[in-house]
Amino acid sequence: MIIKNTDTIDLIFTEIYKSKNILSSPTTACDKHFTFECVRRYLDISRHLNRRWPYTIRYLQSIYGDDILTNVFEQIDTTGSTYRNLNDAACGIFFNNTAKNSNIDFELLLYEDFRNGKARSSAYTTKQPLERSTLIPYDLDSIYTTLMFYGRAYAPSALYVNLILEPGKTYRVNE
Amino acid sequence: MDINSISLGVSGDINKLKQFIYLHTSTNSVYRGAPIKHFSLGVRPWDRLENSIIDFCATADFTISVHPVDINFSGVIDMAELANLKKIVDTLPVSYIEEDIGIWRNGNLFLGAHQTNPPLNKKSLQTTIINAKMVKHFLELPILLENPPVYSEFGCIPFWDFYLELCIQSGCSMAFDIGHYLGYCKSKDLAFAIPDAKHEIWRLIKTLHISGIKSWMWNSIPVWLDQHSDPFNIELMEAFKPTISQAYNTENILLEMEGSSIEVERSNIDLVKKSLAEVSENDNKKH
Repeated sequence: MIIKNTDTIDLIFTEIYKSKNILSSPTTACDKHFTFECVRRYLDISRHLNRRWPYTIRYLQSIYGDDILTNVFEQIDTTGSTYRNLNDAACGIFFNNTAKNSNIDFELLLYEDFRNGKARSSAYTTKQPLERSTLIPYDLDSIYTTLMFYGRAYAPSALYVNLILEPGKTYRVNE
Repeated sequence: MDINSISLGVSGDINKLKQFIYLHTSTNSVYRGAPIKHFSLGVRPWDRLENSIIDFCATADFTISVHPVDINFSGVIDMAELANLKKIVDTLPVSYIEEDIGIWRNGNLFLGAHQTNPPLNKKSLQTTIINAKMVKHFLELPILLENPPVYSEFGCIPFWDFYLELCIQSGCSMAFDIGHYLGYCKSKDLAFAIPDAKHEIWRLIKTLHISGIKSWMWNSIPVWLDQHSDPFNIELMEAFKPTISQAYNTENILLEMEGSSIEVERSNIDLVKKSLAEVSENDNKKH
């Protein structure tokens, strides 16, 4: 921890969202309290993400590790300032970060939203759509069922890593 | 102080105010038999009040304060949003504005549980004084500056010196949150201790806030979380009793119970009433 007693609130606010603080092992009481402050906020961000995408998060975390959560935490004091509330900030940053990875990752986030009645810009169906539709190259319904099956049992990472994502018959209907 | 004359208050958003208006006059409500004569309204700059609420409040038999949760007293204040808040505040018979110091917003982002307390140093003292004076002048209402929840504290100015200086220099009063102060004490590894009766801060404390907290040990240090929905616990009530004995100038005791069940509200109100009776009895014995 590098905070001095004379530092400003802005500097402290920025320092709180540095992931090195949650990964450190403080020894003094003062440092421990600051670590708790950071951990408390990190867990809050993690809670927002896990409530929104409970099954997809476990899959993504198993594939990419904890970085996917700490990357969101580290952006709260910067990118986060453009959002209205913490839930929007956490989920918005996470979605945009995930969109930079493979297509299937953010399709899974969209599909979990769809399954939970929170469709964003796309809707999905298992019936052959009539027009203006795109066949996407994975069977999201089967994959999501697998993620639910694994997630409810708190499956180990190794099981997620070995998953084979098969092409199938789930369609995205452009609105 | 005359404990029996002190009023209790509850807090919440516009929906809670509507519920309060209904329950306040209902014969079988949780508030029946309790001297609840104050409501602390949480409003956001974009909120709008229905005319029926405004009309009711104009002649209500309870006092009203406003707790905005958007004013960065220790940071940068958005003047456009402050102007929007003034429009809402001006429609109600508001006695005072109460707001935790520190920062509530980071740009557009409402920090909520990530609200950040200022380090107790000269820089944040000066910033908070300047902002408090400006807001008081702008809103044309008394301002009660509240000690925010503290999980980690920096700065070298002792807590009570900081708040006394802040109130005197800004011309504002203090809303003393007992749970938040308990949290401050934990963050500094101090036992709960309040100033003696002669300390000037007691003249400036106009309301006492009390709300649920969760306390436990984490990595060998005492930690806590501000949990308004939780029932008031023993630690909190033991801190409340000596505080209410000293706070001779307080106008009300605000029970912040957002999100709690009716049963928890009822139990909290009973606990506070019982503690007030106990303090009153002890005071009588002393005299």
